[in-house]
Amino acid sequence: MKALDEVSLEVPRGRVTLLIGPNGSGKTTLINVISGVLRPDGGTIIFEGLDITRLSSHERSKLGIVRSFQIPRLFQNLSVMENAIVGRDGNPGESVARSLFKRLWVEFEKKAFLDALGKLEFVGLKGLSERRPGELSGGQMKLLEISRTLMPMNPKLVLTDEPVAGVNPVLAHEILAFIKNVAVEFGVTFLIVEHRLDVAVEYADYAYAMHLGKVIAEGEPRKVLEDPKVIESYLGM
Amino acid sequence: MASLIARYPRLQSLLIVVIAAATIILALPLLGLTITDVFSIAIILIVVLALNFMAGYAGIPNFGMALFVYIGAFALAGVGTRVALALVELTSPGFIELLRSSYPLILGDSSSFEVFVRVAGDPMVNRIVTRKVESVIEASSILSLTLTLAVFGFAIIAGALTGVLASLAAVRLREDYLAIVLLAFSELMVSVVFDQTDALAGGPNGAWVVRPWPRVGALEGLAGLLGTIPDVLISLAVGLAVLAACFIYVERMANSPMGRMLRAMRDDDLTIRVYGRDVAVTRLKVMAIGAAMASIAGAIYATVYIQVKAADTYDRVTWTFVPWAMMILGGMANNWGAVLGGIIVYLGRKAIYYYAPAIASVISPILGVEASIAGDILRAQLPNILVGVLIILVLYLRPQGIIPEKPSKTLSRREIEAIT
Repeated sequence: MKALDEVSLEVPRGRVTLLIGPNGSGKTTLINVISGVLRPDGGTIIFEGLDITRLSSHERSKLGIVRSFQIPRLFQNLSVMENAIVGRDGNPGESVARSLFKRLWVEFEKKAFLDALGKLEFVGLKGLSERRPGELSGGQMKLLEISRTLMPMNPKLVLTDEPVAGVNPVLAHEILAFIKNVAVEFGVTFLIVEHRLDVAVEYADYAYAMHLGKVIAEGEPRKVLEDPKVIESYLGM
Repeated sequence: MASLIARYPRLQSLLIVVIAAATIILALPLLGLTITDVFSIAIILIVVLALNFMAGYAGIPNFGMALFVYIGAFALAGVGTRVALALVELTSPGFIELLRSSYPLILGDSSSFEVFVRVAGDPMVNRIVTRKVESVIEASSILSLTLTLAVFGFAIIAGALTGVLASLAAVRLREDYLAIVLLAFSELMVSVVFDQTDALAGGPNGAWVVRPWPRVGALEGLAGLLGTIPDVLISLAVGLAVLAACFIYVERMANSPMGRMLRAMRDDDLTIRVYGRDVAVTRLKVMAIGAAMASIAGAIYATVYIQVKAADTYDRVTWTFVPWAMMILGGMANNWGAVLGGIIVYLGRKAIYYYAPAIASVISPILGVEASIAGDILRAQLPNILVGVLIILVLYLRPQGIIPEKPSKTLSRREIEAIT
């Protein structure tokens, strides 16, 4: 049994691509492999023409690949604001020497702070910015992780694992609309794993369906959802 | 107890007040603390701040602190003595020959190279030569200043390199593996390599050091006014200055984006990797800085406690576990907490030492032991037993310590108000 078996897919630049499939079909494993958390036994991962198969996760992140986790992985002893702002990479104040001289990083920090505040406001967490993640509800944790995913300086490919699971329907639409907007406006590419197909399908440009580690269907999202093989896989036949 | 505290939240603050009051009462007889006590507190606080930087902020569970402190002491005992002899031989050639003719039975057959090895490696040669070298070094401002720079330069560089070397193998692994590697590496180096190799710094017998403080300019003027300045006062002044510098460094770092990133790395190293931070390189940098700080502390310590014995003086209880207890009690990832915890534990241990005979006279009839023997046992064992108990109690009752961790204050309230 292979978690991923001969999976071959292309994610078009500046679009929102949806990845669906029943539990255990290999979606999260695929995200882990693309983001460098897991190393594949074989095959190659090409990002903007560059073979990144052997790069570590922080090197991939520097190329612009960001991700969120299915179960939010927040920094438990950092405040909500700190959790968001730490998503911004390239802070000159993160050097052992330059951190000592505030004037070398304070402008960068102010910009990052305002940006993080804006993201937190969008997801309704601005008022909780000084709390710890442990004080948030499950849905709020999810929202905090989404805000953090959108913080990096120059994101090119954002991999989000169930971004709207546990989020109320109105906000779920707003988040996905926001994602779509970021993709269109800034040319950021999104690969989204989502079980809330009814919501997600409205915002996706393209979809892949997986089952037992293989891609079983791809194409226009609604057509993929109606594909008999996909329906079969969900019904467990 | 924990459930009691959950039911009555005030119990916790009450407990803290009781502990604090008990500590102060216990410490009362110690108001006549000696200069060496203040000096020892300054040194142990540098070590606690270094540990807090590595373990509290960056999440590197450094159970090998004793090694890094010892490296600094070795800079004096193993390197300084030899550098001093070389300086003396260079400026007044024939010094080694003079030693040979003065001590024909001990040094008669030794080549110059052997004298260099034995000056720190052979207890008898070390004993004789060290004071003679020191008297020559002390008489010259240039020689003593050169020795100071050489010894502290070595302590910083060797400390940093040892920090990197000790963690290199395990820096990509999970924190628990890193802790085991650091503990094992420290034990191997201090208790086996340094303590069992005479040629390095006297092995189990240890080595006496050449005190490196320069007698220059202002100091000579002051000495003229005061008659003479005892070495311990210079060591104390240097110790306090280094403590202040280390505190300013770690506190600034803690309130910068660097401090925030380290705390994030400590909480979840996988996630911070996904956000583009190189965890292995960051850990190595932190190890280098923290180990260098501990090493400087060890070097200054050896200027007062001038007989340096590896496993005997630089044991894991005093230099690894006591600093851990101090940090945990004060509050991990809080520099003020580390300082407070350090002072409380130091005074507490001192108080136990002070009260041991009194406690012994009470319990010895019950145990049927002689009071003096019970007193000796209590003095030797009780401080360490209580450090162990303290770690367990604090982790159980108040894991965040006396002063809990706070967010990194990168921007002040005023700066935030100005931009929002």
